Amino acid sequence: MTTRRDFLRATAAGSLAGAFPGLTLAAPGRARQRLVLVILRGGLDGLAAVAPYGDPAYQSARGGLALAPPGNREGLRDLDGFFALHPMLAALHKYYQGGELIAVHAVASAYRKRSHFDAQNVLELGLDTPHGSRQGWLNRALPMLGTEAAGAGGNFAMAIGQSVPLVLRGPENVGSWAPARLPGPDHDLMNRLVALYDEDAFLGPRLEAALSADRMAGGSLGGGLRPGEQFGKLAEAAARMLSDAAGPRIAVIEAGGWDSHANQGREAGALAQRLRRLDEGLDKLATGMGSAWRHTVVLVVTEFGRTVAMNGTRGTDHGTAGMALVLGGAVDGGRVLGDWPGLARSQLRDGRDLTPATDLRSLYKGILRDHLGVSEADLESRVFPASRAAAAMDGLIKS
Amino acid sequence: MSSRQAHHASNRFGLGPRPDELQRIGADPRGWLESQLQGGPRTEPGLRSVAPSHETLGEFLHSFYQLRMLKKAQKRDADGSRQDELADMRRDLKKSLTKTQSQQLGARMQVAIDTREPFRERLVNFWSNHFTVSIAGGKRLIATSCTGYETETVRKHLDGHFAHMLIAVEQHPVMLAYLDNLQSLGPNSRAGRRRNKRGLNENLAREILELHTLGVDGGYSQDDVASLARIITGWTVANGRRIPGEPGRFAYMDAMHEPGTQRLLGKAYAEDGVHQGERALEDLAAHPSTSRFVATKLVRHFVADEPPPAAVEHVARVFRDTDGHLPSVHASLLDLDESWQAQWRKLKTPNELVVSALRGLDLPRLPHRPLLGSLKLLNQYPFTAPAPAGWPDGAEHWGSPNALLQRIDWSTQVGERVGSSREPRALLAHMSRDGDGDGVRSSVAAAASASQGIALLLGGPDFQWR
Repeated sequence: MTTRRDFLRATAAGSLAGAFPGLTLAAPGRARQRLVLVILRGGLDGLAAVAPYGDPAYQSARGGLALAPPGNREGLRDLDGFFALHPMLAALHKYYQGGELIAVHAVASAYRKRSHFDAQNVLELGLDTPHGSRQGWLNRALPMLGTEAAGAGGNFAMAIGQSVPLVLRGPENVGSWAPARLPGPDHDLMNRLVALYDEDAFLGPRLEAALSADRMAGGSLGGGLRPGEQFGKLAEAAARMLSDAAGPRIAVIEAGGWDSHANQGREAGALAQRLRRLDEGLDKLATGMGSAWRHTVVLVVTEFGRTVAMNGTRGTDHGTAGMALVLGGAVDGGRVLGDWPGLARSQLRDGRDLTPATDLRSLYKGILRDHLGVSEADLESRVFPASRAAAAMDGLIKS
Repeated sequence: MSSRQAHHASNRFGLGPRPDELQRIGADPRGWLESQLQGGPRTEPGLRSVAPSHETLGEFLHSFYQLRMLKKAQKRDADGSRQDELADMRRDLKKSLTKTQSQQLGARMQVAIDTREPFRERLVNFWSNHFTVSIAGGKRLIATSCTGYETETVRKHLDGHFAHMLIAVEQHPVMLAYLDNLQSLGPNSRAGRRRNKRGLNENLAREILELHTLGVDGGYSQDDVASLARIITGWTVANGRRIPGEPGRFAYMDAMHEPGTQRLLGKAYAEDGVHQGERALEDLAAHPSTSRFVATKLVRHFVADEPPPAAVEHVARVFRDTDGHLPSVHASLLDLDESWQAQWRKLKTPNELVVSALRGLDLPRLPHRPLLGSLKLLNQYPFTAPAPAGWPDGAEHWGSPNALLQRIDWSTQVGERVGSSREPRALLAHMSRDGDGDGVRSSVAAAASASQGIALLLGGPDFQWR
């Protein structure tokens, strides 16, 4: 595993090549292809990010969360006359218009309950159940990526963040990189902690005193990165590494804070700010890739969508189907894919969630096959066993 | 209900449960605790790699001597020709000191994380803190010998009598160096009469009375301090040169010892070489003030910052009735009603927080650096207590607003690092209590990610208490 120190030593010496001795500069075949997987933890509200404003039930089903239609000031950004991006997703809208973004809706993993942990496990294992294995699907895919991947040791795929996520974990070697400054607790975590400390007569007032002192100092808690800065920093780092000809080919980035149970807001508000940072971060990633962007696919996924209706605290609860984004210079974009199940009450799962229409593994398979060249046979037997019902999605990648 | 009691015993008297601990405690928490006090001294396999203190001390005495000689030579030649040699030697010494030290402290911490007898380990921590040695004051000489000191005094005598532990401590080279007894000279000793530059040093004698035995209000005077200081003159460390013997070992130097009878607390101690001091320590160990002082500290450590007087009296009585037989004294803590009542609680020290978290998470063996880094971040690096009184034992000290934020930061970072390999809901079974603490249980279960769940569990209020 390449440690941060190794990496810094290599960059200090002026070139990434030293950090990735297993790679040659002119690798044949698909050596130019890059894949970035972005995992949004907490369950992004897919109906807020990619709004089906053309659905006749949209306004009534979403109620207080319905976004102003395209054409309004600060309204949705139209995609195809039926779907539109959240107003904050300006850069993504630009990529859509440039033919480099596909939105996939009503997508879900095989998981059908509502636990974050189990849902994330299924998302990352690419299996039907949360506890069937300890090897993530990207780790299973690594041996299928040719001799180059095998020869690169831990430098072919990188986790960009404090730990290696399950999707990359397993017997195949992978690398990891983290920024020197560790993130402190973000607002979401702090709010949850404050609620717990409220019950403690001794510690509660002390935490309150600490927080108010910190606010007065204008500081970010404990010297960590400000919440939200983190994703942009990681995205920039990923671009730096992946754009190097001798760098890794695959990177995974995680971004938390999507569990919007309360006051999620509409065109502005907590979720809007998160989406803005996501948008900015993805833009930084695209820009930072330089000429390698042409060969890049960025897949953005989350463990589940959220309830269609607003809950009692002006937020949304854990749901089922949500959205995914496929972005990149190699993407045959400018389209919204996936069957649309509809928002009318009778069309919802359990009367509350968007009904899944597309298995996430269809996306995984489509990208692994058409972008990275993994054979259909390997996909079905070794990477995603027992998943024939979820056929590889065609046409994601420019031919 | 029994798992609740097991959890209580594990937290209050142990270091927090490892995943299998509650099951091993079973329905008899008291029996589990008592069995740890029985069976006599154990060797701790995890500490086999730590060299005995006389070796590490001897090594550094030798290096410091060479350094001194080189410095002298440089002064004499005054041409700077030895500058590089001196710098090299300093750097090598520092490097080897740092390396040895972190290896020892890491091994020591791993013992606490792995142990199946956490009550013993807690008692080791308690006594090690009672008889604090620290490098915070700049005593580099002892930096690589503190772990050995703890093994050779506290661990060795945990199953015996307080008086034996006390004597082992006060005759230990590391304590003698820490509290400046090495060069304390009796004014009328042979060496004292020869050189009138140096003389009596009262530091160790004062702390023996104030911190190790009677307590500050234990009924002694300044005359008693001076008297005890004279009694223990000549208690020093061999260096193989002026002070003969194997370097790094305790040495009694009659030539430094104040001759004659000394009066301490109204009793006369006739001249008897090293035995004069040993008899004085035995009497101090048996003094009623010592039993009260030690009992107060034990109850404060295990039960409450403000120890209930009746509880203190019970432990003190057992101390007196058994001549300070430590296993009996330790067991008497288990007699207290307060020990088994949830309304009495103690804020974990940073060390207890980190160790209990790592026990609960049951991670594969970590490198020493992050282990010790956690303690540095939370301001309780081993053997760096700010004063000979040791680390403070109370929530007011450890629970400051800023310290709380540091704990939360630390928990967040642990969550980020282990979120991908640990399932927070599975940790709840042993890392939180049944019944109360439902707040944290539901909060962890509703967390947005495994990392966040672990941060809520470790950084939440329940986990800060024991």
